[in-house]
Amino acid sequence: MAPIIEFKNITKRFGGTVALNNVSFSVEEGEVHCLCGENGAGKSTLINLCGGVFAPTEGEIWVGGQPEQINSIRKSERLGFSIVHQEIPLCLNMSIAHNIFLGSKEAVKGVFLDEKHMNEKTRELLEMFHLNVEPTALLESLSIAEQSVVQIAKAVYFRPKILILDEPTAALTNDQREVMFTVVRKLVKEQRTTVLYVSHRLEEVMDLGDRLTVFKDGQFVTTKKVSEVSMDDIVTLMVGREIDKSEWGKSFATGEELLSVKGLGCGKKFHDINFSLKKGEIVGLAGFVGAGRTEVLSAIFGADRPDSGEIFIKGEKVTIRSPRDAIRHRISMIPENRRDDGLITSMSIKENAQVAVMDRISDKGMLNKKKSVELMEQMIENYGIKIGSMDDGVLTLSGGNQQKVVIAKWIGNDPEILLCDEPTRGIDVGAKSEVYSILRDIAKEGIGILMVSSELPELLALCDRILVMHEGRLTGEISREEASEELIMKYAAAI
Amino acid sequence: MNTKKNKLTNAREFGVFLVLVIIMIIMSITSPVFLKTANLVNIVRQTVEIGIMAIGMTYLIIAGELDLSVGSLFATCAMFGGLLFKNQMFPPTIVFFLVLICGLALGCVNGLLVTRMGIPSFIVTLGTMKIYRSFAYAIGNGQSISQFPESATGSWVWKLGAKVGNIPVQIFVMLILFVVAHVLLKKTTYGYKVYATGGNDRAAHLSGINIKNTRLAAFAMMGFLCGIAALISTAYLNTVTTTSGEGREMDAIAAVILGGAALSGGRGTILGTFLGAIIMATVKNGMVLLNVPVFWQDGFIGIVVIIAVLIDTLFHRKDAKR
Amino acid sequence: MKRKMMALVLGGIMAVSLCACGGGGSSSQASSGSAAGEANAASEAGKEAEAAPASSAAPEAAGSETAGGDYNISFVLHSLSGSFYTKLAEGAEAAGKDLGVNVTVSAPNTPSSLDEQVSLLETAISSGADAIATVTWDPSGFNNVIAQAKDAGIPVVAFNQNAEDCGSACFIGQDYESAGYSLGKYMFEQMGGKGSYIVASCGPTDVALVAREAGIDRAAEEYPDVKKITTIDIGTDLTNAYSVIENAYLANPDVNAILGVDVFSEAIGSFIEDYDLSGKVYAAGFDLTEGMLGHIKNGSVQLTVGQNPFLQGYYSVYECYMGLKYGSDYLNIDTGAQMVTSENVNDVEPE
Repeated sequence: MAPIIEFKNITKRFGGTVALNNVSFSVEEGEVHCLCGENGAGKSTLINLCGGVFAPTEGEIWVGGQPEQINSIRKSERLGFSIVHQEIPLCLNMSIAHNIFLGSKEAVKGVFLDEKHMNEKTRELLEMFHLNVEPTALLESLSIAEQSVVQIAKAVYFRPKILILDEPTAALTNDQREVMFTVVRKLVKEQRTTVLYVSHRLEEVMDLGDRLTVFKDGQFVTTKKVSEVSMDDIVTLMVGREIDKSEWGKSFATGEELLSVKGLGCGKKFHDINFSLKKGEIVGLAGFVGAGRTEVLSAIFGADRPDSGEIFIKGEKVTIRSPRDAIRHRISMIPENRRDDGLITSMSIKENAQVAVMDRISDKGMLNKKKSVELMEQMIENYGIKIGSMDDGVLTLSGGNQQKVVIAKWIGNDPEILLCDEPTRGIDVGAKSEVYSILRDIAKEGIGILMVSSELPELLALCDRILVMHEGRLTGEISREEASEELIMKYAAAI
Repeated sequence: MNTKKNKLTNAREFGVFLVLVIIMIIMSITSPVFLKTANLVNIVRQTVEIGIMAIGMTYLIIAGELDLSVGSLFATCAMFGGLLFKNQMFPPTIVFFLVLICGLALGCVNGLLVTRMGIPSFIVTLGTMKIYRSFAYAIGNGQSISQFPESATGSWVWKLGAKVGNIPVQIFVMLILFVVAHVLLKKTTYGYKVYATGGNDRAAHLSGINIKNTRLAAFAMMGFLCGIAALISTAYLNTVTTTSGEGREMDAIAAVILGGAALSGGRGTILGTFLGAIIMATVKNGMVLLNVPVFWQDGFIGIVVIIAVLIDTLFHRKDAKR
Repeated sequence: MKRKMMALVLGGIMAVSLCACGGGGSSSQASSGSAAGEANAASEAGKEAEAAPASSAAPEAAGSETAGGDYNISFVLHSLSGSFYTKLAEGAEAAGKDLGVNVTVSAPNTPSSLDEQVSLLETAISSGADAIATVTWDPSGFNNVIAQAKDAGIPVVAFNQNAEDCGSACFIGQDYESAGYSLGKYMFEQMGGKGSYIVASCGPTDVALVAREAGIDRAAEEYPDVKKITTIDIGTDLTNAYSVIENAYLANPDVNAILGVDVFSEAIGSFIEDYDLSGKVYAAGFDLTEGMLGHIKNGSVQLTVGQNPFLQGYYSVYECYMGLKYGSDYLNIDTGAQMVTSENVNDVEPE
C-alpha cells in the first residue's frame, strides 16, 4: 500500500535562502510521525507546504498515492490536512464555540447560526479535553494554555485524515498534555488518523511517536523508528554535536543579598510572597501555568502594581511604579511572550537589542552610530547571535536567535538583577543549551537571576534553589541538592 | 540583499519614489508647461501646508496614533493669530509666539486626552476636530479676518509669505522643518522611542520607555506645526478664514501613507512623507494642467493613494508576511 | 520577481489612466465650444467622465499660441457645487465658443477653500494662461496671487463677487447696492409707500450683503412712511433661518415686509406660507432657487432678484478677449438685477 504522504525531492527557496533542500521521505497511514530538528531546520516550511501556504520550488508531494498541487489552504483541507499552528490563529473576541465552528458549514441553518448545536458539540469536545469552561466563554478569558487546547480541539473535531501538530504543547500544563496525548492516540487507533508531530520536547517524541524524521539546515538527515533510538541519539542527529553538560550544577552564589521580597501580594493573583535572591544566584520559580509566577515577576518589575508587601534591593526599601523605575534600580526582565512583549517586530536586530539602552548609545539625546555599532558587535560576540546584518529585520532571525537578542538587550542594560520568564520557550535544543550557558555566564558575573520556567529539567539543571507556587502562594522551597521533578510536582500540585 | 540595486529597491521610500517618477514622466510628456521652473516652484509651494502638517502626522502614525483635528487646529491657530494681528494688542513677534503656543496647547489637549484618559486618538481627535472648528468660528464670529494693519504686514512675520528671488520663503521653512524632523526621528533617542512605541507599545513600556510621554510629545509637536502652517498661510494669503484647513487632515494622512508608513504604527519615514506630500501636490497640479474635470480630481487622488500603497506592499510583501 | 512585475504593471495602469484623463482634453480641442453645453449637462448630473473633459481646451495650445486669436483663458470658480456655479461656467464656455478662444474651467475640490483656489490660480499663471477670470470672494486673500499674475503680464478679471482692493483689472457682476435699491423700490411701491420692514441676512457683515442692505435702506429714505425695524442674522442653514424669522415675526407682529438679501431668502417664503401670511406680510429676496421661484408662483413672495450668472461668465471671457485682441480697456460691467415677479416667473429657470 502506498504511503499516505510522500515528499519527493522537495526544494523550497525564499529568494537566496534555501529552506528545504532536496528532501524526500514518506509518512505511512495511521502512524505518528515526528519531525525533529533545530529551529530553521525546515520543519515549519514543510508543514506550510502541506498546508498550502506556499508551493515547493521543486519536487512533488504525493497524497494517497497521487501527485497533488497543494496551492491553497482550501485544497489542503480538501485533501484531509488539519494543522495546529504554533501561534494560535483564533479570534480572541469570540466565544469558544464560535471559534470551533468558524469557517465550517456544519452549524449553519440558512443564514442563521445554530447556536444550540454549536454549544452542545463544543461542550462534548471540551469535556473530552477535560477543559472545564463554558462553550460561550470568550476566548480572551482563557489562559494561553487553554487557548491552545481549544485550537487542538478544533482540529480534532473535524476528524482530519492527516493531523499536523506544530509544537502543540509549548504552552500546556503536564495534565493537559496527557489529555491531548490520549485523544491523539485514540484518533490514531480508532480512525487511523495520520499524525505529523513537531516538538522540541524529545520526551514527547519518545512517548507518542512511531517513527521520526530528523532535519538539519534544510536537509533530510534520517528517518528512524522511535523504538530504535535514544534521546541522546536524536539530539546528536539534530545538533550534529554533543552538548557539554559537565559545567552545569556549579553554584556562583555569594553571600550578598540583592533582592528581598516581603509579603508581596496583588489582588487575586498572588498573596504573601516572601523570598530573597543573592548575588550570582539562580533561583527558579516553578508551578503550573496560572499559579501566579509571571505575575510575581511583573510586580517586581513594575509592570503590575502590587497592593501589599515590600521590595528591598540591597537591604534598601524601594518603590517600583513602572518598568522605568525598575530599570533605574538595575532590574531587567526577559518577558515570557517574545512576540508580544519582547520584540518590536517592525524594527531591526540592532534597534531591538538597544531599545532599552538608549543612554549608552547616545549623547544628550542624539544617537551615536559608532557607539551603537560597537555595542552591537560586542553583543553579537558575547551571545553568539547568528545574523546576516545587524540592520536586518529582527524577524529574519530564528526563534533561538531572537531570544538571544532579547537577552542581549536586557544584559546590555547592565543589570544587577535579571528576571526571566520562560527564557527557552519555543526555541530548539541547540539554542536552549546556548541560552543556559549565557545565563550561567551572567550569574558568574554576580548578577542574581530569578527565573520562571515550566520545563523541569531546565530548572533542575540551572537553579541553585527552586521556589514552587500553587494558586498564588509559595508552597515550597527546594535546594539544588534535594531537587527532583517529583518534588517540584508535589509542591506545584500542593499535595 | 547585498547588491546596491537591491538596497535601493528595498528602501522604504522606493515605492513612493517610483510613483513620483512615473507621474513626473507622464506629466512632462503630456504637458509642455509642467517642467517649467515656475510650475515646479508652484508645486513645492503648494506642498507647504500639507507637508508641514504631514510631518507631525508622520510622528503620530509611527507612534501608532492619528490626529483628525489638524485641519481645525490649523484654522483655530490662523483665526487666533488673525485676530491678534488685526487688533494690534501685541507686537507681531509676540503674536507669532502666541500662535505657536496656541497650537502647542491644543495639541497637548489631544495628547493628554489620549494618553492620560486612555481614549483612542481617533475618537479624541474626531471630537476636537469639531471643537476646534467651533473655536475658529467663534474667534472670527463666523467671518474671515483680513485687511491687516501695516504694523503686521510690514513686520518680519509677513516675510513668511514673501519671496526670495523667485522662491517663496515658505518653501525654505518647510524644507528646514523636514530636515529637522528627519534628524529628530532618525538620529535621536526620541525618534527611537517613537518607532518602538508604535512598533510594540508593550515591549517598549517593558523596555523602560515612557510611552505616554512619547505620544504626548508627538501630539504637541503636531499642534506646534499647525501653528507654523497657520502663520505661513496668514502671511501668504493676507487673510484668515474660519473654514480654512477643512479636509486637510485627510490630505496629511494620505501623504504619510503614500510615504510608506503603516497605520498600525512602527513604520514610516520623513523622507517618504516628503515624497508623499510632493506627489499629492503634483497630482493636483497635473490634473489642472491636463484639464481633468473637477468632479474627478478627488477620485484620482484616491486612485494614486491606493496604487502607491499597493506597489509598496508588492515590493515589501515578504516583510509584511513575516 | 513576480511581485516586481506586478508593481510595474500597476504603475503602467496608473500611467494609462492619467493619460486617459488628460487625453480627453487634448483630443477635443477643435470641438471645445460645441461640446461645452452637453458636457456640462453631463457633469451637472454627476455622470460620465468622458464627456466632461471636452468642456475645456487643451493646455498644449499654450505653446502654439498664434496671432489668430487662439487665446487661453483660465476661468477659476470658488465652487462648482450648485446650479448657480454651473451657469457661470456655461456662460464662460459659450463665450469661448462664440469667440473661438480656449476656456479652461476649474474650481477647488473643497467649496470656498481659499488656499486651494489660490493654488489653482498659481497653476494657471505658471501654465501660461493669457488671461484669468476668477471669483474674488475674499477681501484680501487674492491680492498676492493677482499681483503675481500682473508681474507675469496676465490680466485678471474678477466676477460675481468683488474685493475692492484686490487689484483685478475690472469687476463683472451685480452692483449690489443698486440691486438692493431696485428691490427696495419695487417692494415699497407694492406696499403703497408705507409700513415697516425687517432685513434678513445670512451674513450681516458680508461686504456684498451689506451693500444690498444699504441699497434697500436708500430706497426706504424716499418713502417717509416706510420704517426699518431691524436686521436679523438668519445664518447659512435653511432650517435655522426659518426659526430666526419665526422668532423675529413673533417679536414684531405688525411688521409689513421681510426682505432677504441672499440665497437663503427662500426661508422667508416658507415661513409666510406656513403661517398663511400671504398678502399680510410682503416678502422679497435674492437668487433664483427652485424654492424661491415656487414661492413667487404661489404668491407668498412678491419678488426675487436674479444675478444672471450666465451673463457674468460670458462677459468675463468677453472682456478678456477684447483686452487681449484689441487692447481695449477693462471696464466694470453691471450685469444688472433680474427682477422676477409673478408676471415673468414662468419664463425663468431655476439657478
